[in-house]
Order: sequence, then C-alpha cells, then structure tokens
Amino acid sequence: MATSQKDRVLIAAIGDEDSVTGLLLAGIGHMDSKQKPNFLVVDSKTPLPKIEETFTEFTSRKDIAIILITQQVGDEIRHMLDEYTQAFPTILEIPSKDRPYDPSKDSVLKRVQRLVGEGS
Amino acid sequence: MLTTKPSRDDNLIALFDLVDSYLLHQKALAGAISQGSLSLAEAKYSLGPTSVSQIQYDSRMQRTRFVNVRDTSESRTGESVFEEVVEQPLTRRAADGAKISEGDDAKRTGAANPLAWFAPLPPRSLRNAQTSFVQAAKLAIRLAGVARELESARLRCADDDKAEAEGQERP
Repeated sequence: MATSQKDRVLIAAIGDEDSVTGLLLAGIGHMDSKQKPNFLVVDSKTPLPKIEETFTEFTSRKDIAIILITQQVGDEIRHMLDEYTQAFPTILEIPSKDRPYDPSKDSVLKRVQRLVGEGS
Repeated sequence: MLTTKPSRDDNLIALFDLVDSYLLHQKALAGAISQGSLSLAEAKYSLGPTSVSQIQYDSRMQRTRFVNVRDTSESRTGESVFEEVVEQPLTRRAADGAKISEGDDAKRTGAANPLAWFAPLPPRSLRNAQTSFVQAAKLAIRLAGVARELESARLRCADDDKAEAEGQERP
C-alpha cells in the first residue's frame, strides 16, 4: 500500500551561509513548533558529527520533501549520500558560490553510472 | 486496451534523456545561484558583512515557498512529483488603502518577507539576490522532480538487467 506523502511540504537546506541565506530569502525557511529549523548553516567550525546528525534528522522527518545540500558539504558526508536509498525526502546536490557543480561527484548520477557500467 | 511494456532499450533511452534533462537543469540552477551570490555580495558590501548573516534570521520564520508531493498514481505523464506552492508574505492594508507596516503582526506570525530581517529598507542588491534565489528555488524543485524520475528510470533498467540475467541463467 502506497504511503501518502501529503505531510511532506518543506524544502530543507544544508550549506554555507550565503547559500542558506539565499534560499531563506526565497521563502523556504521554517521553524516548527519546537523551534527546530529546516536548515543548517555549515562553516569551517561546524563539526562533522553535527552535519551527519542534521542529515540523519532531516531524512527521518516526515514533514520534509526535498533536502538541498551544497556539493561542498555533500562531499563531507559523501558516504551517507551514496548509501541513501529513500524516495523521500529527495536529496538534491546543488552548487555554491565557492564550488561549481561536479557531475562526477553527484550521488544520483554515480548510481546511474554504476548501472551503465555494470551493463556494458 | 492492450499496452505494451517498454522494452529494455526504451527504458535505457528514457534514462539517458533524464540524465540530459538533469544536467541541463543543474546548469540553469548554477546560473541562478551564481547571480544570486553576486547580488548577495553586493548587499553585504553596502549593508555591512554582519548585516546579511544568520544572526539576522527570524527565529519564528515560517515557510512561504514549499511543495506538495503528488500521488504518482494520479499524476499525468511528464508531470513532476513536486508541485511548488507559494504563499504571499503577510501584507496588510488599512481601511483607507495605506499599507500597514508589517511590524508587530509580522513578528507574531513570522510570515514577513525575509528581506525585512536584514534591513528596514532593503537595497536593490538584496532584492536582486532574492529574485535570483527565488528562481534558484523554482529550478531546484523542478530538478528534484527530475531526480525522482531519474531514480525510477534507473530502477526500471536495473530490473531489466536482472530479468535478462535470470533469463540467461536458465538452461
């Protein structure tokens, strides 16, 4: 039986301050009733466990539909992105001002590459 | 009415078409983010670097841009699984038509335009940044839909490969 995803409405964001600020300017930012945000600003002082913990939290929340993560931050938790198999929330790697998009690192495309590579 | 199951080749072609679409959307997204980042840098220069930072984020912010996830069994072919929804930021007008400052009401509901977090009179550069990042958000939602379709196509191709391998194993 298909599970309804109607509660999943939020777009979450994990990235550097400028990327997150920009996306918040676009209106995606949200604080829930428990003051939990749907974003994480990552800088040079952000510990890796914090990024991992936030990713795990966002992927288990039932109100988040899409997670936007800058590829620069994504590289720090690449192992988690590569192993992620849930349909929702959908993870999307995005470029940032300091790091252009690299398709060879994108976990979505790497899965396609593995399929085509295995089939050839 | 009989419907033919797509062949393995059909599924592969669909997969590669989606990869093309994904990369095209990523390129467009990169352009919007680049433009937005430039405008944000200009805004920081005119307002001061700490004036446009997470220190100014509204602790009671509420989303005005979000999505509805379509039931894939009800969506039409080519329709994205994500439908963008936009709620206009709170703007009130007095009985005589004059705009009321968002002030206390906005603070209570947290539904004010995020521009107001950073400056009472946001400079043009900050407004431009918002315009670019709104475009980026729209593209990201579309791209997320393509990513979902891409994953579905990949799984169909993986199933095809598995079925072919099982067919070859049988004597």
